[in-house]
Amino acid sequence: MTAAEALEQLKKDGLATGVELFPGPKDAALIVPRERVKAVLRHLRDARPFACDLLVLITGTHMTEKKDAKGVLVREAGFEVIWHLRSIQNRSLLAVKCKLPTNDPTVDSVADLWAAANWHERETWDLVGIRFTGHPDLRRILLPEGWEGHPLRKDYAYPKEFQGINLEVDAPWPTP
Amino acid sequence: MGLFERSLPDVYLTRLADLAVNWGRSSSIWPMTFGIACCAIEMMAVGAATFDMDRFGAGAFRATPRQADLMIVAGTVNAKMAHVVRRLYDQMPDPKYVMAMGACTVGGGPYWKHGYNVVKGIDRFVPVDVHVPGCPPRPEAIIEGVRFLQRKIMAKRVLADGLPQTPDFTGVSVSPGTVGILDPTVKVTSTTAGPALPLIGAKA
Repeated sequence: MTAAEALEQLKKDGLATGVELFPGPKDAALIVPRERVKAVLRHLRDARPFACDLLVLITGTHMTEKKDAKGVLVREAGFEVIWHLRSIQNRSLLAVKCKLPTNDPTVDSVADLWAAANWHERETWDLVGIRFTGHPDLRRILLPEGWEGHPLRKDYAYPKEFQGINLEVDAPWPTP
Repeated sequence: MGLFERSLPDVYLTRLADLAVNWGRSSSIWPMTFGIACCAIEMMAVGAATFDMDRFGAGAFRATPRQADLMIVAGTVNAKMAHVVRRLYDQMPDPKYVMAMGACTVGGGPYWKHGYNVVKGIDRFVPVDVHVPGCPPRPEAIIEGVRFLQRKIMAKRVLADGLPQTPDFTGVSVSPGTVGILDPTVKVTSTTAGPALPLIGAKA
């Protein structure tokens, strides 16, 4: 099932309010407003035509504003979360996108729909800093506790030291 | 040597005793089974049959720091891991030695500039005896590093009350690209592997 077919089916099911189609030759996806993300994802998992029983991964991206040579805005600044779904029964792929504002990157957790989402959301929180409301245990998963900031953000400042360990790039050679 | 640690006069007899102790120590370096990243694969290759580090007395990999003399830090050390490495080092009994294996442990390697979480060189939190560069180093380079360490141990003072000798690298085989960081002040007089024993009574 392609993204366009999925959108048609969603319209039939009455859940397509605010859902747009992200066009693309291979990476077509559904863009869902964040208030409706959880309802749509739940429907994609449960409804027979979709049957997306496998959550492959969750992607988080941080994008800065981009203008072309004439000064026209081509890309708005903000965050984006992408759920990559797969249906074993239908043998199909489907991606669902959600755009989040820079000042409030918050979206509903789907950890109760797919157990796999638990760690993926922790990783997305750890590295990009997107907060998933309703997550049972939203802690860092890769970086140590006490780490400041989210490294994959565009405005991330590299740490100089962490708990007494020097992390500077050009530190003086240690004296014995 | 605990009680007599560099407390006896620096005479021929104590140096002879030092030589015996150092020979024992350098010929039975027991490394710790401790691999962090891809360098560990090469370290395993060194322990296996083709390269066989046991030929140099350094093949008995111990699974606990309490029984190990040498910690081969094989792989990228990040800020989360650094405390563990330091704790393992502290748990090793004296005398203990550290080999920084691979570009990451020597100076951050490919993560030097943009690795926000990678410690740029393990000598920022543990003292390092031998640096073995490479990404990862060839097994021959690790053997070379162990041989360097053995020279270093042979030059130590154990009982005698005297300054440590300058390590005698005479006879160390040198093959560019596979060798650890050479001290530029050490003059390599021969490029073939020779006997490792320093001259007894020679002035440092």
